[in-house]
Amino acid sequence: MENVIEVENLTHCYGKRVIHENLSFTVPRGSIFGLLGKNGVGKTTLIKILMGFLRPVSGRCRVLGEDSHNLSPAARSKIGLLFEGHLAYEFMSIAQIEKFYSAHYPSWNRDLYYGLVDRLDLPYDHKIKNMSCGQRSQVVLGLIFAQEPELMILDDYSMGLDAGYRRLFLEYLSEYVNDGTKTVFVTSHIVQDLENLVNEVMFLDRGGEVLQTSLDEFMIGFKQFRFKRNGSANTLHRDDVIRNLDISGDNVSVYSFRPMTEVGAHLAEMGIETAGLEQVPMTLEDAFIGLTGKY
Amino acid sequence: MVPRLARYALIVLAIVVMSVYMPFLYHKVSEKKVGKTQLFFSPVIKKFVFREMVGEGHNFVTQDESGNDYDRMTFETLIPFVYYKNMELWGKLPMTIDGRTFDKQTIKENRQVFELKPRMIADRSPRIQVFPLLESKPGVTRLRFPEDAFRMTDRMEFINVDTNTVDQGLTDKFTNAMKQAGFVFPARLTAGRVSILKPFDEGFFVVDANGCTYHVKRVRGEPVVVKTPIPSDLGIRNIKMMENKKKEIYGMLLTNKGDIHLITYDGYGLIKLPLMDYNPDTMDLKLLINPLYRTAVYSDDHTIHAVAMDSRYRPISRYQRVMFSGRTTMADTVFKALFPFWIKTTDKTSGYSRFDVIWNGRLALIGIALSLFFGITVMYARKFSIRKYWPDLAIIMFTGIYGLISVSIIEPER
Amino acid sequence: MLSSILYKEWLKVRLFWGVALVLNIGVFVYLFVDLRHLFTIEHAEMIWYQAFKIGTLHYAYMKYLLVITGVIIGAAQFTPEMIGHRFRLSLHLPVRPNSMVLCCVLAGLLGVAVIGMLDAFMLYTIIARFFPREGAESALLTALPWLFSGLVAYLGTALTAMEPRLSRKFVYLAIAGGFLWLFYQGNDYETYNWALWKPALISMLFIPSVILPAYRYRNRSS
Repeated sequence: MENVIEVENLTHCYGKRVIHENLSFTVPRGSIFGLLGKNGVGKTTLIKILMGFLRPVSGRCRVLGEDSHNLSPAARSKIGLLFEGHLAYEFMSIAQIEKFYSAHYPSWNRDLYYGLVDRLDLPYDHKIKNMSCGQRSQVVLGLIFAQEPELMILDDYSMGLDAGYRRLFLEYLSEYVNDGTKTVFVTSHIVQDLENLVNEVMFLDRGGEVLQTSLDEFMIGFKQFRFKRNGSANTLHRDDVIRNLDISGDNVSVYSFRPMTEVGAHLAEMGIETAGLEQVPMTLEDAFIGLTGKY
Repeated sequence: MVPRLARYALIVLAIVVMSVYMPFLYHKVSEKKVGKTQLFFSPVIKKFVFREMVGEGHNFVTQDESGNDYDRMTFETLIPFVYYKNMELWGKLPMTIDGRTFDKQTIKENRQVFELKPRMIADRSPRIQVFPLLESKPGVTRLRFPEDAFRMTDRMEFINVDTNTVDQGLTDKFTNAMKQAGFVFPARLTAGRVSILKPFDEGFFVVDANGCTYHVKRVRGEPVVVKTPIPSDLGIRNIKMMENKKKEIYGMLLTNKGDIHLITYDGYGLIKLPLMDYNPDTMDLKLLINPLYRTAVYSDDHTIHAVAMDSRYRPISRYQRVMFSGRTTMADTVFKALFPFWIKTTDKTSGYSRFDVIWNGRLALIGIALSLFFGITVMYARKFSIRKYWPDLAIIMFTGIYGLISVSIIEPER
Repeated sequence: MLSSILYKEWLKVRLFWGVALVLNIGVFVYLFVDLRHLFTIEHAEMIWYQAFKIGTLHYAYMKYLLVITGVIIGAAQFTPEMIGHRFRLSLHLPVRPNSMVLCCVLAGLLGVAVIGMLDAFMLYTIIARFFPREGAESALLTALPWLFSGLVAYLGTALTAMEPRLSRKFVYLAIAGGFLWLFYQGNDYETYNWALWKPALISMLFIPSVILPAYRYRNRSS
């Protein structure tokens, strides 16, 4: 299986602040890859590096077999890129922006664009700068679908989209990846949407920490356990068994990749009473918060 | 590769800009203005005398050509025809020189100055070739601009100023008169003094296609055209007309060879001025006529020359000296060492702008060596490999300080 | 594809180009009115004397008109690209980035040049109305360096806008500003008749130089 994105020992800093440190991962063709992490961990930075808008301190990135810093026009024509903030040429109208982009992509599918954009019920000469955030997002996503790219990179696609449109978009996206040849690399603030969409996830944490795994493995492997504390659990802390913890009144939640028995034994060793220790089922969002913590 | 070329394009632009403005600023800061020497022929002692600034402020010397110093008042009495007003103030008029007596009136009436600066030469300054032909005998004391102006094309075309259209009648009248006199169109040169602030008007001297010179006037509305006997093979480069009440000289004629002739009222006879080493393109020329002598003084920024002549323009005495203002100063030397070249955009000897690269000679090797040293130092400090970025050093080698600043500020991309 | 980029630049800039056009036309309308007024209150032969012998430039207030035009169009073209890093949109198009940048710049140059040519036409026509053709030709020759300076002003604006680093922006501004001033060395008519071609030719180096800030934009580390 060929890799559409290959990142090897990528390191990047903003001044003294380390964003990525020896980050390595691959995105195989046909996968739907979700990049998750809190604000400021470097998701958008990574995308900028992948798309050649930023030069990393060290490391190698290849996209569609080409050095990401020197992507050829042919490679770029196969990449549909949604910029953070849904950047668009705001001085153009709905019709003008379609006319402009269609000239650049040989396999342009006009119907896909208008299929999405018509739902806005706006005249075609309506300028993008006069649209709301969500409306603009719809136009931009329409453009990306019409391009029919091999690789779609979507940086926080859900910004500004209402629930109905988000659902519609996910339907379009599922349709898009159906044939198994298209690849999607997506980030989103609405983690829940990704649960039914992605098959690979990568969690970025501050300081360059990374966890990459398939979604299934993650959902099976990463567990939440809950118990009530009776005055104890003050010494509870993160370690190599307890990935994360959350104490709310008497309710304690611990998160771990280990099975329940191991977690229970580990807590007992620490002198913590774990009455009523039980595993709690999680959604992807729960698991994400469990892994990265609430603010 | 392409970004590298783009960088070099910017570096060239930066070098060009610096080579205009840095020397300009240097001169602004370092130039100590010392005026040009004033040179005269004294009819009293029959020698050349001069006043020369030798330093800032009012640091003058007033000497004669033999090196004798004079105080200011004595100096002025040596050239009484120049300072005749002071002579009167000091009660020295009337004065007698060589057995002849001169009072204020005589001096005034017999003084005349002709001037030709390089800028005034026709091909050294732009001039729109449309001229007013004044009425020579207006019947009133003051001259007036006519309501038409002429251009020399394949005819002498008059344009009415109010309608901005050709006045056919006037055009035909003058063109026919020109042709009848033998004029062959088109004209090579049209020369006249365009002004109403002159005592009277003598029209224009026009050189035709064959090199013959014609004198054209407008008298009571009618053309008066005279074919002058000025030789057609003289190679006339410029004629400067100077109407003067004495009515002895029409003006000065400059030939392609650099000779100056005075066009006289005596049948347009030419008097050639006996000038030596005169370069019309670089030197200001002044012809000072006074009751006894005629002195031609001509100078560039470096040397001043003079020839004193009698009333028939025969040379009596010559003199030249390198002016104090023309000496090479320390600032000049530093300039030549600092800047390998500079771009000159203005020229006081011309009405046209320039854009000429002036090389400063071998002294610049000092500046280049220093710049190279600093350039290599900067490259090492910034950890740029000389093997890879040798073109930057080559640029410094040819452009010195300009290149050093450019390549240092517009750094190479890593 | 490049014609599509021209289309995009036109859409982006057309309002400001229109404003610049109106400004230029307005100045020449004023020139006409001003000259007409002058010829009403003064004797025509005196005005011709001032123009031809003294060297009064009756159209001197158009000196900086095309510089202003160049800056307007350059700012209108490139400032939107720099806000919010929208330049990335253009850089992601399936076109070679250098070709894309050059195409954008050529589009702007064309916009400035069209207005410049219109200025030249208006200048000639208006001057020829009041003065003989020699006067109109002289006006054109005199205005030629000012028209060139408009192109340099545009290119300098593009260069400065695209540069990601602030300190470098000042460097480019200084170079462009210094170069621009080279077209304003004389105060009389036709002073640049012999010398204009040299700075004009060298100023064409501004065109390939725009590749550098665009390249630096792509190679930023932050």
